[in-house]
Amino acid sequence: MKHIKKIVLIIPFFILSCASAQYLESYEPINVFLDTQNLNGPTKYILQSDKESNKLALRIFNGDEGPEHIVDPRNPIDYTDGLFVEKYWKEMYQEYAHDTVKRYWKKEDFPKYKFILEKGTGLTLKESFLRKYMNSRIDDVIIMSEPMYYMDKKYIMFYYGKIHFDSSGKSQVVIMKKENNKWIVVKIVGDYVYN
Amino acid sequence: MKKITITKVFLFFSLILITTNCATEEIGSEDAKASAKAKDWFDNNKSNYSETVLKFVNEMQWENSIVSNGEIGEVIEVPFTLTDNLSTTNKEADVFNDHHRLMFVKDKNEEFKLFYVQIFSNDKNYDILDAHYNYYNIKDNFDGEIYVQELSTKTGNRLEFRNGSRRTSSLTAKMREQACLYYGYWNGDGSFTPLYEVACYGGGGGPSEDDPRAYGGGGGGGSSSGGNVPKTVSEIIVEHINGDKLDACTKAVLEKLKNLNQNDIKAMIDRFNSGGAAFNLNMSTGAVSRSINLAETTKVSGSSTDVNMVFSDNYIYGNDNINPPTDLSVATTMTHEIIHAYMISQLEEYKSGGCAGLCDFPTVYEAYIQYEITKNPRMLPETHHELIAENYVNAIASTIEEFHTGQPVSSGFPKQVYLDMAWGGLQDTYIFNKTYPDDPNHKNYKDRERIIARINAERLGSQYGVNTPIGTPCKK
Repeated sequence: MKHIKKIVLIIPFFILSCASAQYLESYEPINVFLDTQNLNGPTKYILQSDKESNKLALRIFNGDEGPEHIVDPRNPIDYTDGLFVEKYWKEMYQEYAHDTVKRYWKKEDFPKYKFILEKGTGLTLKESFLRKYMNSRIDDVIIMSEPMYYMDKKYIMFYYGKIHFDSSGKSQVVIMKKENNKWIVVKIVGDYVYN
Repeated sequence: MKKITITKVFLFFSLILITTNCATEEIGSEDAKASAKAKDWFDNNKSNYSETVLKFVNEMQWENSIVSNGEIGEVIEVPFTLTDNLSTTNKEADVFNDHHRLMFVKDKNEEFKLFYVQIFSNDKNYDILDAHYNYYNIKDNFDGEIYVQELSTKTGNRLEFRNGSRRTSSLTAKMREQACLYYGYWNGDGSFTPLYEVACYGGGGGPSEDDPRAYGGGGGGGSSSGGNVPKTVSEIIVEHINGDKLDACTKAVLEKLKNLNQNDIKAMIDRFNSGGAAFNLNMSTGAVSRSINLAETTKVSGSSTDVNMVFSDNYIYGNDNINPPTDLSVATTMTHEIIHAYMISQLEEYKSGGCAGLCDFPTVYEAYIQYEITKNPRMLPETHHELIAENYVNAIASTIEEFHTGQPVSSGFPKQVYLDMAWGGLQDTYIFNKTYPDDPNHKNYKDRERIIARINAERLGSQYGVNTPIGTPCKK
């Protein structure tokens, strides 16, 4: 009887501890965002099928690695336009930073786009990748992370990178919300890292 | 007779008194003239000097000028205070009670030479404004240190005194060490927050007795070889590069870049001009936050002086590839990142209150303003790349050509292969895409293909299309 009691107490603990981070059921907002990026022309783009780590989006939004939010007292610009709220940031960080489950984009996620999917990360550093696309006139890789909920699901945010083969390019966090049943881009926060 | 004698004595003393008074007035008047001449000269010539000190002079106390004469001629010393109540000390924060003077010394052509004298007294009540404390006369009870810098040649000297006697280098090892002085603020707990580097002194043999830098006469400085030249920010940055956490290949590239004869990193950074602050550049090889990056440079959070530079271990070790990159690829990446680091330091210096840093970087300044307006942190990295593409492709190419060939580029025109390499990391810039559009019908399209192929050949350390790497592959 004693054992059964223990098991009854332990099971919910395991269920709670194994609860994974919550994500969107549809990639509609990402598609809405991609529609603003002029990716439907004749140029072909590679999509890194490995979803980028949540940590990258979190780092850019926070302005630093980890959960601490450090504001430069000599330059206290709020580059998030008030979207950074400590309480919600901590909740988001707790939920998503440690989710290391590997996830992959599929062609069906972006039906309007003729992305060429490539597995792996750090593609532009890989010889096999560079040789495969030598003289192909393809020299951009799109990299995105899984959208995360923020501020009690009021917003979503994800990492978006459009990177040339020489590693230069766009690297940013896109913050969106649903308004009047439509997804809109609220803010794009660029990366502060120089490369 | 007695009357005559008394009258004579009275007249004699009166004469002495009158003569002495007149003489005193005469000397005072000469001092004022000398001070006025120095002031005129300074007002007309100060714009020719770009030294840090002149940006921080609050008030020149011309009325307290100290004029003295001796072996090297007339010396006029004018005390002044620093702006914003700044103080000065050294890295260890163990010199105190700073006093500042500009010293004007006439040369043989009756032209002034300008020196910056910083006096640190161990006794905070020491009367530095005493006119008897001057170039020719260090008072007997003076304990402290004096730093003298000739502003036109940027050469300096450091002297240490105990009971008015100068200590020589044989007396103290400390004198042989180089000492850098910083402007900043003392904190309540006795620590010091440095904001701007003024100059570095010591380390080498002191100047001769008749050199104005030998304040009070005689040498000083250190005993070992090497100069006692105050350092520019670029040199300080080079010295403050910590490469202990670099892999062997990248470290070797760093050492080679530091020691190039002509077109080395020092000269390259000097070309970008200098400001006054000291910065630490911490280099390492390891994981980068974006896996596609060859290297990343960031300002350390909460610090205005520290910059981190990480070289991707996947790139450096050529993980998943047959070969690692060539040293030429690594040198190009490093040069590119050092320009980022330097521009970050310039902006930090500006944000710390000095205009000095950004005078040469109006583009970065404009980007900073835009960044404040748009609150877009990406503004600055993007602007850096545009700025590098517009201004520094040639400088990077010259640097890596000398790195590779051992021969400085004296013509000012680096070879095409190095220019091609210098575009690495700049493919997203406006100028690159305007010059080499991604359009097979454009006349420069072949050039675009050649540039990308060269960058990839060196990055992979192996044949890429028709391109054979010209650099030496790093060891796996």
